Amino acid sequence: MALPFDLDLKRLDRLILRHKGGLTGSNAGKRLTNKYGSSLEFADYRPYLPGDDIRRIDWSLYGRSRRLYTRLNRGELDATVNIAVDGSASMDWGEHNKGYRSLGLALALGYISLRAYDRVAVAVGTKAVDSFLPPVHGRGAVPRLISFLEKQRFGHEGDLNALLLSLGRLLRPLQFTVVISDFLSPWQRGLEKLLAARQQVLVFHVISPDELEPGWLGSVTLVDSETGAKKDIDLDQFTLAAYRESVNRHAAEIKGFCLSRGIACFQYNPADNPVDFLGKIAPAILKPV
Amino acid sequence: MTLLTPLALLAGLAIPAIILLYMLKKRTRPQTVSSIMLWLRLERLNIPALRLSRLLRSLLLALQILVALVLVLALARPVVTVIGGVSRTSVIIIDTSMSMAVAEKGGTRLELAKDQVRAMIRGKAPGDRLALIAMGEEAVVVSGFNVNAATLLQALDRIQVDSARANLDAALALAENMAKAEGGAHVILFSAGCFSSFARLPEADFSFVAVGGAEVGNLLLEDVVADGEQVYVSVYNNGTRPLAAQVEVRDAAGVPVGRRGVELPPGERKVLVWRNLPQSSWYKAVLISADDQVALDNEFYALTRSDRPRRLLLVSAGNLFLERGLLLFPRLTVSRVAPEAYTPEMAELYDVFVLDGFLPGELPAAPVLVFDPPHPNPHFGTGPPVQISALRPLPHPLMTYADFSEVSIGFGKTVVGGSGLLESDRGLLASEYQQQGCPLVVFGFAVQAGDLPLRPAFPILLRNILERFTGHSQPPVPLKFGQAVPGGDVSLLPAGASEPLTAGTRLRAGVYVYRSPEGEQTVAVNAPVVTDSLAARRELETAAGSVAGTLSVAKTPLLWPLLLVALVLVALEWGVDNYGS
Repeated sequence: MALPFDLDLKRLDRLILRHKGGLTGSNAGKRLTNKYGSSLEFADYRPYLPGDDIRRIDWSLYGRSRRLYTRLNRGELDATVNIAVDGSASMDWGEHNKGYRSLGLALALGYISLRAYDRVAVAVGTKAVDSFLPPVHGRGAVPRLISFLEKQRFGHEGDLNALLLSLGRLLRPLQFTVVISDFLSPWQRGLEKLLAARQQVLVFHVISPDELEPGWLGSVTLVDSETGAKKDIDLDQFTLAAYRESVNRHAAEIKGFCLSRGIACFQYNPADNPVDFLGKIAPAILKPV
Repeated sequence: MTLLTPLALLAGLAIPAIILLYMLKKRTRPQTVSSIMLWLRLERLNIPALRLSRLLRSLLLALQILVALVLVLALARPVVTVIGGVSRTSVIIIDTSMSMAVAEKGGTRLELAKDQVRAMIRGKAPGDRLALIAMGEEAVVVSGFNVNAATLLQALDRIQVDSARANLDAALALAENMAKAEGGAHVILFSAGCFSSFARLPEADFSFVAVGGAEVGNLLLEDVVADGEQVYVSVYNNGTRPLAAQVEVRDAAGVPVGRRGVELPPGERKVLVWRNLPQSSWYKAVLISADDQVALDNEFYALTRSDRPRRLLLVSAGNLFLERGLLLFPRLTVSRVAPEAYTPEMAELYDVFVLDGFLPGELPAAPVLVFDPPHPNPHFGTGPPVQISALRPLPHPLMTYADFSEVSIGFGKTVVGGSGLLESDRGLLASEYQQQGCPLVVFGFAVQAGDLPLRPAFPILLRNILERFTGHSQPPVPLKFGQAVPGGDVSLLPAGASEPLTAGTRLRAGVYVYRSPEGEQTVAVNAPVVTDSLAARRELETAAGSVAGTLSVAKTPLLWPLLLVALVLVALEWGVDNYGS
């Protein structure tokens, strides 16, 4: 697969991933936390204690109450955004290659996060994390991120459960985890594991148009691109309609699972440019800086 | 519905082939997909589109099988039998006279008529009611009005040729009555029309279906007389063309004893005589001709008539009454021997034995009359001599006209078992037994033990017994070709067979032994003989005019409708096949 990514990342410059709160970080960032810190955001007052920085004494309050109070502000941290990309062979599929587009989506999300002073880690694998970019931060890490993504290849039989379980061992609590996959392998336990690891999870279900609408009919032997398993089928309009329903049920199953667990879930059509796609769903997961 | 080429049904073997092809794996092209996970789920899904797809696939197979079935049926060329103007209730009269025994192309006329009726029964609407009448010398209702096709078909199968001529008037009168009782029914007559004019047509709707052709080749055995060692065979040509045949005479063992050729023009008769034939109790004449169209009248059984005097042996120490009484029968040659002079070899030399006060160690295999049997004896049970004071004759054919009212017997021995003739105050005094297949009549008293020889009953009793013994007294047995074998205490054995015929079996031509309580009699049964012309006629002559007959019931071929149905089914199949693709 020949990359580079042809993305207009500049359109994403002033966006940041929404979070529900409770994130942890090791460095100062742009995400307000409920802890007291050094941001300009007022949090509370407390009586002055010896040793407090006198620059934090609220003198106007002293003028009214004749008591010394120290102003407390909210802290600002960086968040860690882990992006897991399904690297199975089924992702290497479609006219608009699902895998290439998924990596593009990962890049766009990573770019947004790096621009927002978050830390970005990327994991690609089939049944385990095969390729991992440890958390990087800062705008200067974008080329490194691109370089990492450009090296990724798709192949072998996938198991999303195993991949996410493997990823779970690398995660710390209260982080973002983005899962990009076609969900054509068992996935429930993997997502449960991420939730158990106290991750704020964001799911992108990648489904190709030619998966939704196969362009052939008649008697065919279907060959699984991952396992090579075969299945004979007489594909007529009725079977096709049934297949469509099967695909829709599968998507609805994923969506229902995510909805019931507070996971944001989006279906991504690889025919869409990742940046355009993020622009469409921006109100749901992104906010201006 | 009948099939003109039923062999074409073999093409139905294509149907299993279709099913086999359907079950065989289709050749498919490989198609790589990202994952077959979602496709595998289809097998577990039960959604309307998938159900419809499966249904259509089953429908496709069903349609293909249906098309094959229809085509196979079309190949078999089915025809439905229709008679114009048939009401929902019909009385069908089938001629069962000899004229229907003529073999035409495809079977005898009766079989052809039955085929047509069978087709009518099978093709009738479920509510249609049919009645069947067999028209022989008597008109017999074989089946009353019935809607059940199976019952009607069974009744139809029972119909066979059983009469020389057909009694059309009786059959029409019967059919007319039945039709009236039903409030108007169609009367259909299936016949060769071989009868002279008849009184009138029935008042009901009437159709005449003429069966058979006008050209008939037939020689028949008109009569066969076996007189001792001579056999007379009368051959007659009642066909419409000259015919040659071989006439063969066979004895009771089935061995041919004579054969001659005969050629006769229509309406001519010839009597063939065979002399000095080997002795046989009966003969069978067989007419052999390849062109003869009536098989039934080609064989004739005749019992040998024997008028030679019967030889009777009286074994007696001397009995004037018996000797004189036996001399009353001129056809009997009577010999007498003393009991001590009797030898077992004599049993072979005489036809009838009268034993007076004597019983040999082994009874001869012939009719035997015994007076005053020794007590005890190994042949039948007797009692010791007793005084007899009262006598009463029992109802028995041998006692016919024998008046015992004034007869008195002083002493006698009672007898045990058998069919009683005389009863005394001490028990049975005379009885009839069967021994070695022959009658044995025993009187437990000596002739001179009372006044019996002085009474008129004595010669009458002797006459009854001796006529039974010589076979003259037996009335002719009423056995007729085609009749059902009587049941009850009567049995009928084909000559040479050991097992009697089952009651109800239809009698065929042959020689039978008729056994009844009155005795045993050999009877020859022959097919009805008719010398009238057997040429079928297309018109019935009546006093009021003539009735034209149709050649047959109309047969509507179903080939084109079936092909049309097949075409529609093929179009439907094409539609189903392409509906989802």
